[in-house]
Amino acid sequence: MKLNRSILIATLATATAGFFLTRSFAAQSAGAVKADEGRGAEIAASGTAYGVVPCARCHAFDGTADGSGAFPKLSGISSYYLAKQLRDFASGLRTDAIMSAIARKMKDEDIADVSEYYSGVRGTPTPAPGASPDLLALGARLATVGDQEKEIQACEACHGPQGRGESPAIPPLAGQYAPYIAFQMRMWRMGYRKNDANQQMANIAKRLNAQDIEAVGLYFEGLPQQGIAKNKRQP
Amino acid sequence: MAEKLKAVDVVVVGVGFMGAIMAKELAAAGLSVVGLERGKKRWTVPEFQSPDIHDELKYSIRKGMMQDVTREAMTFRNYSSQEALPIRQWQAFLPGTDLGGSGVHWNGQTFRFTEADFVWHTRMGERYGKNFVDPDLTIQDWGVTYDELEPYFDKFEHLLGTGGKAGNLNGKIQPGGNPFESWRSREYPNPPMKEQYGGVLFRKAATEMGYHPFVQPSSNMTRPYTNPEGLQLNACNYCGFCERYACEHFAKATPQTVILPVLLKNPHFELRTEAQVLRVNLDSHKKRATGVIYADATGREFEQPADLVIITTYALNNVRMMLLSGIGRPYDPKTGKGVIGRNYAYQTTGDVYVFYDESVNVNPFMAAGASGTLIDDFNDDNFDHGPLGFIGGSYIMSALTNGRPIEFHPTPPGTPDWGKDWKAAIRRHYNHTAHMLLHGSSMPTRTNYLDLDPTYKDAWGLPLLRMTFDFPENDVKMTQFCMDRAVEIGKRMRAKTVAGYPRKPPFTTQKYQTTHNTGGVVMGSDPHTSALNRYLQSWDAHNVFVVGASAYPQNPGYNPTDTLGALAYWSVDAIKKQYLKKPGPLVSA
Repeated sequence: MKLNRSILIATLATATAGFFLTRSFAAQSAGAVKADEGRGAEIAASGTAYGVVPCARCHAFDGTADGSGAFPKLSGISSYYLAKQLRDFASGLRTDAIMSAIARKMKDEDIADVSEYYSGVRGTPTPAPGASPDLLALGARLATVGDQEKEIQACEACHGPQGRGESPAIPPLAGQYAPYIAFQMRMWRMGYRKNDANQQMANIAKRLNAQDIEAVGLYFEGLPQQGIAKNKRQP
Repeated sequence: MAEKLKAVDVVVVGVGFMGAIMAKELAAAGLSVVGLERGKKRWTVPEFQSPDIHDELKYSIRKGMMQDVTREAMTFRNYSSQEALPIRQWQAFLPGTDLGGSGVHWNGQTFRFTEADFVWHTRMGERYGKNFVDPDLTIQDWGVTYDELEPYFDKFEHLLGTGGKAGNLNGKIQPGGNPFESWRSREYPNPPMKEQYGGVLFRKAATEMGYHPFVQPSSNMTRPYTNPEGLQLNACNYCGFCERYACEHFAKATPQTVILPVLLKNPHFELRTEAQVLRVNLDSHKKRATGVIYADATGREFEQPADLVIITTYALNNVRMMLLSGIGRPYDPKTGKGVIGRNYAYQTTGDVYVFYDESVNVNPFMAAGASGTLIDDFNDDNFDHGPLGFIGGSYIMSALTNGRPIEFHPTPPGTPDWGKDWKAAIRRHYNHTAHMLLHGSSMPTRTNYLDLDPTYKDAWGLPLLRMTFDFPENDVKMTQFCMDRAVEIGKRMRAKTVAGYPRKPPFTTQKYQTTHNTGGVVMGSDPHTSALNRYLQSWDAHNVFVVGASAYPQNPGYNPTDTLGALAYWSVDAIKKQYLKKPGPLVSA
């Protein structure tokens, strides 16, 4: 069933009641994938009887996580991207001490439902991190211009202007926690993470030094999160 | 008076793909090399970064990367009896400018010419008899053979990181590749590109009809690649902004990504940008170049003496440089004598649009400059021309290089050209239309040529190049035959409507076709019919080498760049191994 897009957008724009209202409309707009957003919310809050721990325990119910930077924000990331990461954790294509074990316990519909849920929630804005102007300037340069000597293009060439992502395949970076971004960059660089198309991220991460990585993370965390992914599903 | 500068060993005129290769090899051999580039410096970072680089108005419509027609235009006419007029806006073909030249905005389509192409005149006579070819066509052999060039093709493709599937490895036909290609000594350095959906539909139909579809060889990276120069490229993400644009991802093989950074680190090389070369100077016997005269951005003139002059500007400008410098006898169409400007050829292209209903989503925007699927069954000498009465051919390729909103709006025949119905048709067909390109050969004739315009001058007061060109009857017959085959394939693709647009005379500069201008300073084994010997060395001034598609005696139905790179490496190898040891003609006339 297709929902008239203009009605959806208008509703989103006036949805002052927060994510619950958004959720109900987004659920109706489900296309080919019949994901149950309500069931996703239940799993996020309470887990499952067969051992999937509640996502909210680390990522918070509104996807903002705990602020430590150890766990990523999930709000507003496309369901396509979130589901792919969960499948990759389950298959071993992406590994993580915590997530791999959880994802292996999830059924296909759990992955679809939870991804649908988090793609539609609005997180809570978090304050920009403190950082030296020099470091922020370096981050901004790498993110928006790139580096000729290192032969890397601007991050925003793929991750979108202001790090808003190119939904559904390329995740937003705006507002994401700097320590999480830096951790993932190190994972790419060391070869622990390789689940993107054509090893693009590994190649870039290998050419960045520790300071570059820190700077890029701080730059993106300082950008305002763009809200909810407009196109949540695979086209 | 031009200020005389310190002499160097080599001056390279034009720092594009071929200029960079020649300069890099000669500087690495220890020679002092100066590269003169009329345009400005530009690099992947910061000049090619988004969002600016995806500005369709700036680059596609206003031709932001092309030769500045307000300073250097050229004039055009179809026949000698007409008065040529200046081209004020590039449309049919798009010569690039600035560092890297046209190698920055190319699509990355990387085909080798075949064994037959290099001995075209001989081959046509042997296969079809002496009287088969239209006597008006001035086809000839190249003076170099495919077997001699094979190692240099290989070298260039590894420099570029070309992706493809071999069709003929050392004489053994390989499944999945092009069975018509000439032998190659090893596989491509990278695997082929992903097929577009239009290509999948095309492949199915072509296979059903008994043809041999394969994925186009591409120099848009199909995986991360480090080339033999040690430069790293990233994988292409199919954004559909190759031709007319630069790549922001270090994913397209361009001078900037595959060779220039290495060249510029060599202390024997010096790059001077905004240096407009006005002419090559000759000694009093006109048998040897002494250097070049160029003007800087302020108009100040300099003389750069050099022992060796390598001309590597765009093909058309190579011809003009020879004419402005008085090297070689200009071609006269009345007598057929003279060589500079002779055998100008182009490419005979055509389009087929395949319109589907709304259930078929083609997604034209998921594309790269060279992600087509094609058949070579009706190209080159891959089929029997005996009953057909023409020579040459076309490849037929399902190709959408982009779905850019200003340029890409296919509409079926009968759609109004503007207004509400036009807009509705664009919405209806944008995502449901496949496209086939006919990319065909172009044979030279006595009446198609290049010379200096008697009337119009450039910003430095020098005569513009004048092009006299129309499609020869042979090529019109050829393209109609191939169009009929393409339309048959289109119908087999089970579309609602198939619309073919074959190229018909007169040639017009007002409609984009391709930037594959060839000939004018052709290579060969006879100084009466060629300007250069088999090493791209001028017959008239032995220390002048002219590297460009200007060297092609005729233009086969394949994109020209791969062969150009092979010729550059072949030529510079001869310079290093033979010429430097004993400067003089490498072939006796």
